[in-house]
Amino acid sequence: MRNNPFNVTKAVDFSDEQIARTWVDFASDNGGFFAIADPTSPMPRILLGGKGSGRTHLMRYYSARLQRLRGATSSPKTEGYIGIYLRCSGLNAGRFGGKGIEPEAWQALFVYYMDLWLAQLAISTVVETFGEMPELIAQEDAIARLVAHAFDDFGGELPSTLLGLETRLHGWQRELDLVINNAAITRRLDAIQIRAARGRLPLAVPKAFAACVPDLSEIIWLYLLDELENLTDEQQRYVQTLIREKEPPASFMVGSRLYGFRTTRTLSADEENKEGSEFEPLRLDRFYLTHESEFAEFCRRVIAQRLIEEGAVPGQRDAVAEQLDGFFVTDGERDTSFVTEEGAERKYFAVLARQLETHQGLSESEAAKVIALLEVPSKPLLEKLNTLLLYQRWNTRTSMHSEAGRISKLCAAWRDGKATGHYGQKVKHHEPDMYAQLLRQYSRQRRYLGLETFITMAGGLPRNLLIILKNVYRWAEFNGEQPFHGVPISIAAQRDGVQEASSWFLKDNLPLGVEGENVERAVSRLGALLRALHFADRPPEIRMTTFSVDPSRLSLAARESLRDAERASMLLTEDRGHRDKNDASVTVKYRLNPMLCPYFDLPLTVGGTLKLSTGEANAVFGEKAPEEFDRIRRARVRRANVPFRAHRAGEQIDLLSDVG
Amino acid sequence: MNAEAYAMTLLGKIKTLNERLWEGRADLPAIKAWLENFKAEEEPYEGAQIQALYLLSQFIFFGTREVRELLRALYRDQFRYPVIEALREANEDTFDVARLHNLYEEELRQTRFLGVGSPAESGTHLLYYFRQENGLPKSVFVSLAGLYDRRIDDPTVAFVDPKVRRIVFLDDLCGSGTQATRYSERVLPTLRKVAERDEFSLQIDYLVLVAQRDALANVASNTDFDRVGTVLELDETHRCLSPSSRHFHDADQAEQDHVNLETALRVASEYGSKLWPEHPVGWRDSQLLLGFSHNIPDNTLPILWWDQPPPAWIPIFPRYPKIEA
Repeated sequence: MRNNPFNVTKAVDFSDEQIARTWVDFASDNGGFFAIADPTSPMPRILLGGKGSGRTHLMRYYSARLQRLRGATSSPKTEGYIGIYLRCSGLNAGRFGGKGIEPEAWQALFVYYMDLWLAQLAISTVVETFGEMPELIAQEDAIARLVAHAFDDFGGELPSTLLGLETRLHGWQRELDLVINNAAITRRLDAIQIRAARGRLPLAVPKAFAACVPDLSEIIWLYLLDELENLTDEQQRYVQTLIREKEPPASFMVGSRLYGFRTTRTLSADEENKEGSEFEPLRLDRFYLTHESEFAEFCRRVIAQRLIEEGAVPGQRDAVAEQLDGFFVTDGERDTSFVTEEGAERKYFAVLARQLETHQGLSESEAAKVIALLEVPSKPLLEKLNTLLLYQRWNTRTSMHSEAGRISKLCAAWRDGKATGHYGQKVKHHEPDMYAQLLRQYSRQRRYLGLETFITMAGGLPRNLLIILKNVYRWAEFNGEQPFHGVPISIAAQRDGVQEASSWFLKDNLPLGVEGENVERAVSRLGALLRALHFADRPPEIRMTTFSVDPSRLSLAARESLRDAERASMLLTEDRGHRDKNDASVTVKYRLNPMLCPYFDLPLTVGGTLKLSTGEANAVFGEKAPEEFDRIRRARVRRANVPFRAHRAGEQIDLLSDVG
Repeated sequence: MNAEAYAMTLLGKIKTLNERLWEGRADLPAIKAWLENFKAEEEPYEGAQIQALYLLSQFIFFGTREVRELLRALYRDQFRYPVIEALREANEDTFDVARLHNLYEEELRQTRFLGVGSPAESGTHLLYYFRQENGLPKSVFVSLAGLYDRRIDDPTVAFVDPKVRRIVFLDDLCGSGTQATRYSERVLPTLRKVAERDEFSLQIDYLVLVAQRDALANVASNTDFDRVGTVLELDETHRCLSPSSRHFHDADQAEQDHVNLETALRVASEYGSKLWPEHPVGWRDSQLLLGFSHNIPDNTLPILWWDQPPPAWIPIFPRYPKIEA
């Protein structure tokens, strides 16, 4: 088997060289990532995003190691900053707590530990990067002494070299490690002497270098703190304190998953950092979604780069990026031959005939006449649309025969090119949904084909796209195809790869524990409801994957699940607050993550918004029993199916007694 | 779940197995070609293909990586540890690592590892990897002929290295015990004769990567090996078509709807009897569903590996047949 070019989907699994080789800039004509998240800005940045938004790739690209690899460190002024990279997960933050020791003591120890670590990191990074600068070599003694003076008690002789300084800091850090590791046995931390004031050291190092080496005073010393979500709330307050108390030439760029960014409180008298004053947030995935065409272009380049790197496709990146569509079969997206192949009888007309007889009281021959008016034998998709139009007029006073006659005329006129207005609009709006219904009625799976579709499905997370392609590639290979070599990847491989990626997304993104169970239940219920409505006789909206709800009216459990589902990227927020014209409620619009749409057999593109009542939303997101959810779902779906009534005769459905 | 959807589920599982464990040996075109075998003109029953597909999804494959891991475990657990244990017992339960190390090295120098069967057979084939994985010197590996200083029918035959005190025979599978028993009868008498004549005690071990419990017990009690050992012991539940088969135990609803032991047994037996009438479900009714990267044992269902005409049969995991001299 050949090497799958999309096997690695996490930046942490890449070496520095691989990070450099697979790097692709975003909209480079407009300044690229350097313009979006400027590493030379003195304003601290918080990079937020779902799993796989590319945060780590970006932050590692900004690190000094990568700066060196791309030759950007011949002079400090080349890029105007030096990136000091730290992954918070490497800290094993969980060990700074418990063991019968006061939280305040742990807090002080954690702060001191981090101060020592960041100071060492800054020294080693600058020495590795600019250690050959004559001015730096000449001033080594002065720099080391300046940093040492930042301690309240350095103890012993002051170091005269940077190596000596680093060794002392490292030694103290190791002492801390020993005390922490043994705390469960000793139950004490008092063997430790905290030698410097909180947060002083990480700022003192850049200041000392800048004071002694003029060239280093003109650049930003950017601390890149990645994976903030691995720190506890209290530990995150330390990072917020650094942000608040930062002094030039230091600055900070902090990366975190959206749900992992838990506080803006600092340790400085509990003050809170304010967005816009102390830091600027950047939601990477949201940014991508609002820059759709640039994101698509970016994705194409990422894929082209991977294919070239793995030797799967030769050529220059932008040229390969332009050829990518040709690697996937996308023909037959609206192919309906499977309908005509099954004979003259249409399944949807058979259903309609029964409905006309049962609910409209027509005789068999009368129903047949109505259906005859809707027929377009060579165009099953138009027949489906005509059926939908009849459903839309189901409860009017006009007879079904007259309605069918009217639809027949509109259809014929449109087909003759005489009239394109109303009927043409209907074709445009409903064709994708009607095609999906046809596939389902004829036991065919929906197709999600082609690169554009995959990019839409990725929902602003580049890793999602890589996961889709990884699975498509695997299926193609299993099917005996040679992906990206000659013959385009088959429909079957794309379909199965997409389904597998979709299932993976659901499992991989669920939070742990009870929260995860609640989110899984909520998303499954939402998917079931949307699917049932999507395939109903008269779907309430077209291409329905978006819904609106007023969260303030929901039960606590439902609100929490909704929040957790959003944090886990299962739901994307489309509109944070929209005041309803009719009842003054403030509704929020959410969209099911497109990665999940194949799992629920739903469309990828956004259409109408389904308005969920409080009761319905509580049933979906709350802890209501499965039977209760089913009852409410059935009531909602019944309104979209013949005869389009909320409840059967005699059945009591009280949709308004639904708060809580 | 209809049959088509269930087949897709099985194919999904097989795809994962193929990617992760089967070293890419069974892709979809190969599976389709193999399934064609089950479209007999006069199909004895319906749904043969789905039964076959299910059996394939249960196939246990030891790829190169797994075989190497088994070889490490075999050496460590069945040779090194027991030898060290015996050395400690004979030396006042000493914990003196340096002393034990020297004693073990001496013990190793007096040992020879051989493959069961001819040099072209799998037991012998394993020796190269066994040596590599366990960092053993070439000097402790020898062919059967190379063990002796002259022809074995010469009454004065002796070992080339007169210090040899332990012979270890290695094999990949003990499925029925036939080969080990046969080997014991053919090879061990000469070894014993040399030891007896030259008045030294010779330990002869039979170590195997995977073994059926009953077969190994048979070898232990009915042959002249001093010790038998394995890493992975199979039991009755591994006989895939037996009433206690693990492959049909705890079947979920989808499986119960489409596959069952009785039908799978009929499929395997009836097609198997056309291929290898004497042993339709594997050598001596072994009913195994396993294979190694270097070969598929004949104890495995023939419907998976048969590739000798007649009849024309496309295998999914071809077996390289043993050419009997």
